[in-house]
Amino acid sequence: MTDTYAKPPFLGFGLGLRAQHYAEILADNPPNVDWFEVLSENYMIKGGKPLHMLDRVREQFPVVMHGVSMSIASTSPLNMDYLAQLKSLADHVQPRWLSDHLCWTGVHGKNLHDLMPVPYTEEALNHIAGRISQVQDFLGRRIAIENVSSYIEFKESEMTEWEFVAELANRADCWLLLDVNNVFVSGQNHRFSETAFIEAIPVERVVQFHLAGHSEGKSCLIDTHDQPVCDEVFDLYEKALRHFGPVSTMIERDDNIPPLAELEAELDRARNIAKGVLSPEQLRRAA
Amino acid sequence: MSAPNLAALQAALQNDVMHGEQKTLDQLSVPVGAEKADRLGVYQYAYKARLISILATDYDTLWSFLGDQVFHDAADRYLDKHPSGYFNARWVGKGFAEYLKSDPMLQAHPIAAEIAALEWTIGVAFDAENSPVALMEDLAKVPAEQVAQAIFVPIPACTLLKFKTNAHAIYTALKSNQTPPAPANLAEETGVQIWRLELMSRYKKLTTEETALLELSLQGADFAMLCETAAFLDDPDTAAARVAGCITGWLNTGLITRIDIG
Ligand SMILES: [Fe+2]
Repeated sequence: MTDTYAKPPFLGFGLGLRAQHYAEILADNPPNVDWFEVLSENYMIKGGKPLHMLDRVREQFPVVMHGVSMSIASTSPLNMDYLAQLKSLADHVQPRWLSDHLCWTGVHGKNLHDLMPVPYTEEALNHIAGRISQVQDFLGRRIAIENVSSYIEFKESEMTEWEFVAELANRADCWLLLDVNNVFVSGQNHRFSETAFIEAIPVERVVQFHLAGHSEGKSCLIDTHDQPVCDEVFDLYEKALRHFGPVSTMIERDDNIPPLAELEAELDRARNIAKGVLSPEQLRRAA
Repeated sequence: MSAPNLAALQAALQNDVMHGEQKTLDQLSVPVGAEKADRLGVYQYAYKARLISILATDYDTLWSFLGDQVFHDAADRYLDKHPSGYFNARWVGKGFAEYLKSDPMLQAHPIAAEIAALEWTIGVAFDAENSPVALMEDLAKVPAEQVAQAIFVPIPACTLLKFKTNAHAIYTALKSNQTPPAPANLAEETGVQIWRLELMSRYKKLTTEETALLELSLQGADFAMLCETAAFLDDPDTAAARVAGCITGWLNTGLITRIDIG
């Protein structure tokens, strides 16, 4: 039995598991990917091919679960049906950890299916920290919370996003999933220093990095996950490695999905950056 | 409510995003040079675009049948009328086929709702519950004197749809990149069986008799009742043999999960 509250080990370099790649991943010649992140909601189904494939992947690779529906910052009650399904999936998948976003997706029984930002207030901090604790108690494990990309901020905010995220992790006693692309997108959109953000996040809280591509909208950068990770985000990733040391890293690609080999090459770029920053000892993955 | 200000903000912002309003602009903050309405607009645009794209994935054959504009507008009206209450985007399109029956633009074209129903049900079969599959050898184990009471229980991934239009033919043509026939009403309602064999969804057009037999089996009817119905529908002398033939087909294509004795 693994301790679901202990800090998980460094897993190396992973990718999001996508249906387009099932065959390539399970081929005789497995890809150079250390672990996979699966989207929890895609497997909250009763049976058939997706769960069958997930079970095959689990036999060969470490897996972590990543959700989009917890709506941890919502002021509507926690969706216990969702949490029960999440728990049962986690019992089956036995992920190294599971994560969701610092956001709300809807209130009053409606769902926007988007990652909506919150004001950085003491009120929100208390509310969300309390909910994370409730979820952790229900799931019987520490969860990781991810910073999101945002396009608006709120006048009532009383602190910066990074102060909010750092304080939230300490208060809720949860892990953090640092999305480097989201730091970049929000930093550009709200004109804050991405480096300041990264340096304010407590090292001991971070268990995972996300890298992803974004696109340029009419009025700001938009978190689209439909293209390769850009140079600026890789530069920020290097800074993050210097600050945090070895952190399990993966690339998210949700749209315009290329063949697996292209993503492997992109992942190699992350590996090479890590080799330049970290010692071989630090890079040695947990068995 | 433990966070009254946050609750009010979320309700107002959700309303703005869903309905294209701008009541929260005063509460937003954006850097100098940026427009609040533009930034709020990113969420407003993304809301509909994301959900319509989910519908386009779930209903991609209907989409190619209707074309971009007609599909997009119908999806847009559906989402206005049925905003998602599901936590999982997998189910956003669940009510679309039913909605199309009363959609102001498409209700006069029942073909659209029937293609949608077929497409959705094929999708549902894909990740429906796993189940054991009964084989011919399981049938052989049923004692001869109990065959009349044998109930052939379809797998959970099996659904029977009944169509008044040639939705099945149009769907089949579009799926194989062929020119579909013109939409038409059928002379009589026709059953289409949708199920999963191994890991793939399948669908099959049925005869009138096959439709009746499957419908009865889904309701829990036994072999004797199936034979009675077959005798009513066609030559009574060959009814038992025809039912046996149909059941053999079911057992050979993974449609039956178990044989109960009633
Ligand atoms: Fe992310």
